[in-house]
This record gives sequence, C-alpha cells and structure tokens, in this order.
Amino acid sequence: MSDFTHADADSTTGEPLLQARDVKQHYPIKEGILRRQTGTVRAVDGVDIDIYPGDTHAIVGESGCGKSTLLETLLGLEEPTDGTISYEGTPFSDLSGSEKRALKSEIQIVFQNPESSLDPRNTIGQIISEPLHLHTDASTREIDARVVSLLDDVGLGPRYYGRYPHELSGGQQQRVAIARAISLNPTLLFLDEPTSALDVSVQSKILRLLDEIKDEYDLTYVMVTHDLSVVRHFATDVSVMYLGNIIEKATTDALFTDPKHPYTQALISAVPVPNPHHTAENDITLPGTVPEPSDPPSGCRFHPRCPIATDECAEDFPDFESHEGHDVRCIRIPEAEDLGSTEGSAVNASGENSRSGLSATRREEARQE
Amino acid sequence: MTQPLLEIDDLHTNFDTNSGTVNALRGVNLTINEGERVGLVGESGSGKSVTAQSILRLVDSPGRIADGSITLNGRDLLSLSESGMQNVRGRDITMIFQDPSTSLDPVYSIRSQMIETIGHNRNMSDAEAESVAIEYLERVDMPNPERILDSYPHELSGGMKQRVSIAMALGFDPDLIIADEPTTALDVTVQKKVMEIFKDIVEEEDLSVLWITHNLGVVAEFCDKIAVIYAGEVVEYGSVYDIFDRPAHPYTRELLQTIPNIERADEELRVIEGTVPNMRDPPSGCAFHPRCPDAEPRCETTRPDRVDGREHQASCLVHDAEDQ
Repeated sequence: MSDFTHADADSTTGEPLLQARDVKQHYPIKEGILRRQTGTVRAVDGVDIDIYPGDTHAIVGESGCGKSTLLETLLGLEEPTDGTISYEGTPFSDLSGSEKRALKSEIQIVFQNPESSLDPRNTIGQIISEPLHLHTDASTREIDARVVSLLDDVGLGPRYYGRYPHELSGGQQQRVAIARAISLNPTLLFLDEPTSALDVSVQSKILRLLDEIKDEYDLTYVMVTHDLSVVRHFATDVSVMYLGNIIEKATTDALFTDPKHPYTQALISAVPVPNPHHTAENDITLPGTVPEPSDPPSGCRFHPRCPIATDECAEDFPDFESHEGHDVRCIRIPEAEDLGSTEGSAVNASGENSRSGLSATRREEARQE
Repeated sequence: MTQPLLEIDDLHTNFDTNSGTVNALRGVNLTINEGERVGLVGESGSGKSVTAQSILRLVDSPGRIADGSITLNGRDLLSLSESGMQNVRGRDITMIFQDPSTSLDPVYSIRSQMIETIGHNRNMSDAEAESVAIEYLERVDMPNPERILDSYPHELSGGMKQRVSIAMALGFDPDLIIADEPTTALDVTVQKKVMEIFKDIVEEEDLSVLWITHNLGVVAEFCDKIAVIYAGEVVEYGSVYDIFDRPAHPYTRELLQTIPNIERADEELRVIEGTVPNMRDPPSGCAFHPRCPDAEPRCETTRPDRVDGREHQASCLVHDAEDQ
C-alpha cells in the first residue's frame, strides 16, 4: 500500500494523477413564471484536491456537504462552473473528443447501490462485457475469456456468467459492479459509498476484495463516504468537506489521531465506538444545523457552529495552512488543539497497513455470500 | 428495577409462502426489565424486525405468530382481542422507526398529529395534549416548539423529524419504547445529538427501551443489555460488558471483529465465512455451525439450549458464557 503523504506534497516527487484547482459547481435557483435566477446553490465552492497514484483518497462529510457533487464533477459527469480538473497534468477542457473517450476507460466508478447500477434484464456476463464491447476491438471470444477471468478476480467464478442480478445477493452484486469497473484496466476507480448498502459481515469482505484488487490492478481509489470507521480502515488520505469546501486534508492516521479543524474533531467524536468502556473525553456536540448551500455564512463556513470561533472568523474564509502535516482552513488552530487534543489510541507508526496482511479465500467467500 | 416488564418466551413467527414456510423466529426468549435498555443486534434477515413486529402483533402478511408467549406487565399480549391490542400500541408500547416519515403524516401539521395522537392515547383534552407536546418538544431540544407545531413534516430536516417522532413517542407516556434503527438514517453529528437527547430523557424517566440495530457502536453507547440474534434465535444475551468483553458465542465474537472500529484501525478486519442461512431450510443442529470456526461434529446434529434472556448465556454447545 502506498504511504504517500500528500499533506506535505512539496516533498513528494510524483505528479498527481488527478488534480482539481478551485473547482466550483454552482446551480442556479430559478423562480417565478419568467424563471428568473433568484439565487445560487454553491454545492461545491472552490475545491483543491490532489490524488496521487496509489492513494486511497477518501472524501468525507455529511449529507449536503457537496461530496457527491464533487465526485460527479471529478468524474467528468458534470462540467464544473469554474476551476480546472486535470488528469495526469492535462486539463479536461484541453482534451479532444477521442482523448476524452480514451479517458473514459481510464476512470471508472462503483456505485453505492449495486441493485440499481446493474441492468436487471442483462446477464452478469453481458453486464461485465458491455464496456469491453464498447471500448475495445476485442473479438467476442476474447471478451468472453476476459469476463471469465474478471469473474474469477472478484471471487465469483464462471458459473455466474449466465445469471441475472436478482439471483445474486447484495455483496455478490457489488462484486459484479467491481468486475465491470475494472474490465477496461482503469487507472483510477471512484467508489461512491461502496459498502453502505451492505450488511456488516459482507462489508468487510467487499473492503478486503477492493484492497486486493487495488494491488493486483495497480489502482488509485477516490472514495466518497459518510462512514468514518470504514475510512479509518481503508483509506490512505482523507479530505473532509463542509458546506461545499474541503476544510482539512491529511493522511488517515494523522487525521484520526490528531484532527486539527474543529469540525473534523466534532465529526470524529460523533462516531459511535463499539466499546462500552469508551469515554467520550473530548466530546463535541455541534449546535445548530448545516446552513443552506444557497446562503452560506460569511467568512469561515463553519464559524456559526464552531465552539471556538471569534469575530475574525466571520470575516474571511482562511486559505489552507499547513499544520504538522495537515492542510487546514482554520485560523484558530492553537485553540482547536486544546479542544480536540490527541487521543490515546495507538498510531500505526510503521505506516503499515493492517489490511495488507489479509489474504484471499475470495472465491469461497463470494460463493457463500 | 428488576421487575420484568416484557417477557418473550419461546416465540415462533412463521411466514407461509408458496415455496414453503419461512421460520423467521425459532424460539426467541427475551426479558426486558423496568428501566432497562436492551439492544437487539443482528444482520439483515436475522429476525430482529420481525421480533418487534411480533411484540406489537403487526407481523406483515403472510406472517403469523405460530407459538410462544409475550407478556407485558404480566398481561398476555397474544390472547388480547385486536381492539385490546390497539390500546396497547401507543399507550403501553410505542415504536420509533428508522425513517421518521413513517410516523409523520405529510398532509397534517405537527400540531394536529401530536395533539390527536397524544390526546387519544392518554385521554386528554386538546389543550392538555398540546402542553404535553410542547413539553416534550422542549425536552428533545427543539428550539421554538410553537413554531414546530405549526410546521409540516417536509419543512423539517431529517434530524428534526426524528426528534419530533421521539417527542411524540415520549408524549404517549409508554411503558416500553421499541426503537427500530432510529438513528441509522441520520448524519453522524445529528445521530450523536439525537442519541444524547433520547438517552437523557430515558435515564431521567427510567424508561424501558428495546433498541433494534445492526450498529454495535450505537448499542455500546446506549444499551445496558444486548441480545444478539442470528437465524431467528437469540444466540447470546448479556450485559453490554458481557457481550463486548466476554463474548461467548462464536457468532458474537466474529461479529465484533468484522466491524470497522474507528479506534482500532491497526487491527485486522476479519470476515465471517459463509452466509446467513436460508430460513426456509435452516441448518440442522446449531444454525451457525456451517460458518463456525469452533464447530464440532455434535454441533451439526444437536441443537444447543436456547438462552433464557435473563443473564449472560450463549446458545452454544462448545462455549459456555460462564467460562469466559
């Protein structure tokens, strides 16, 4: 696994695979019979992000923070209102039509709900082979062989070739979605809440599969999720979003053991811990609710709910500043440190990933799902 | 405190389908004492929601309670007439659902819904019911209860709707609250707030709660007792400390290791081999034996004694809760 720390990106030598600069996605609010624009929903409001090869980069946040819109924009499904998204250094907007088509096989996605992302009228074989028929010149025979090997890679085996999605469990359907996503040997795989619709015992199997597939196919992941426990186990890097903006970026270990931004601290402290002895020492319950993205607060977007905000916070939205390897948009970091302080939990100092030791009895698992 | 409020004894609920009978509950035993918060934990299809539906006698057709008994304060719920049962629902037992929209009608204002249901369940005048509604809206930390009463469900956020449905449930002054994943659909910071509010009120009023969930983090923070349900049976029952510190049943142990824990990322996520059994044809002997790492030959043939749902016990031939 990569232990790439783009938090101190200056020292890294690699080029980002995917880069966003000041990306905005605004939607007009139109009202009245003349459909005059009366306002703007600032779903994504100036996001910078760097995804390096080998990262598993999680974008986290609560409903309405703009993470799904950001994902759609990064994926190229929607043109950004403003800003640049570059793939391997080339802005999307500079690409020719054929280059854009080529990029479609480089970047793939796995959705949250496999049931709705798989066509119920097609067999598993047809579903997985569809991108191969569309994007390659391979013969039907070659494609069939490839589908069989993909089924094997995701632990399903050839006997699923002729089955229909409804005959499969949720976990098996998600394996099919993964097989289709990797069929064109992509470089970058987006994961949109890949395990949220699954039971806990199935969730751990799919996470393990994604980990193994990442190594075997040399993939880079961008995952959007609200489940911080999954992020803790699965991601190498995390960006935390609040109201259309990323407010903190760091490596996963750094973010969870020593969150800097008051919102990150509140978010992490809110996750229920499966341990009855857990005492919530630095417990933060946020007042109020997330403001409307059509009418964001002035200055720091978080200041109306922030326990340590000052008048100054209402004036300017601070830029990213580097604090001990975290990139944070907050002018109150020293005070925030006192608020959140470090938790006692053990940091995985070697940077070694717990999951790399997981070995495969993948097919057996899938069969049993 | 130790007075049993709800006693479920050997409950069997079946669904008769064209392709055979599904034994959704296969002898559930569970006791909830007064003032106790019991978490019923299981995965999809384990029978946790059917248990709640059975308690309220609201099992969806073609389901039926085939055998067993359910008593509330010593009263046999299964022998009550339908109208007698209707009085139990709402007055004695209230339910809070995962999706608050289930309990809120979109076409009526919060005021008319709360006043009507609270007034009906507690035989109160509209004015009395309104003051109860306002009291509980304040207690669930809703700013400006008067304005909330005038609003319609669609004008409220998910977290606010869930707080309104909690206020409504509490306003009925029930003996038992059944909460079916009430915070699962909420964002974490909202979930935290709703849980804190609910927990405070439950503690102040010494309420009894059956909390149905798949989220072990939530039960660890909220419950006193836990019943782990698998394939229609309670396979382990005990205090929250028994279950987390001294799990006896292999399923409980595996389940605890399969969940991602935000505090312990360096521990390997384990996977439970195999899959939840098909309840049309559950495995012989112990239902967990095909997936169990500790299974012995006798587990295939002999069904272990079921837990009585009163003290720490595991329904397992190999492991005894007392040895843990």
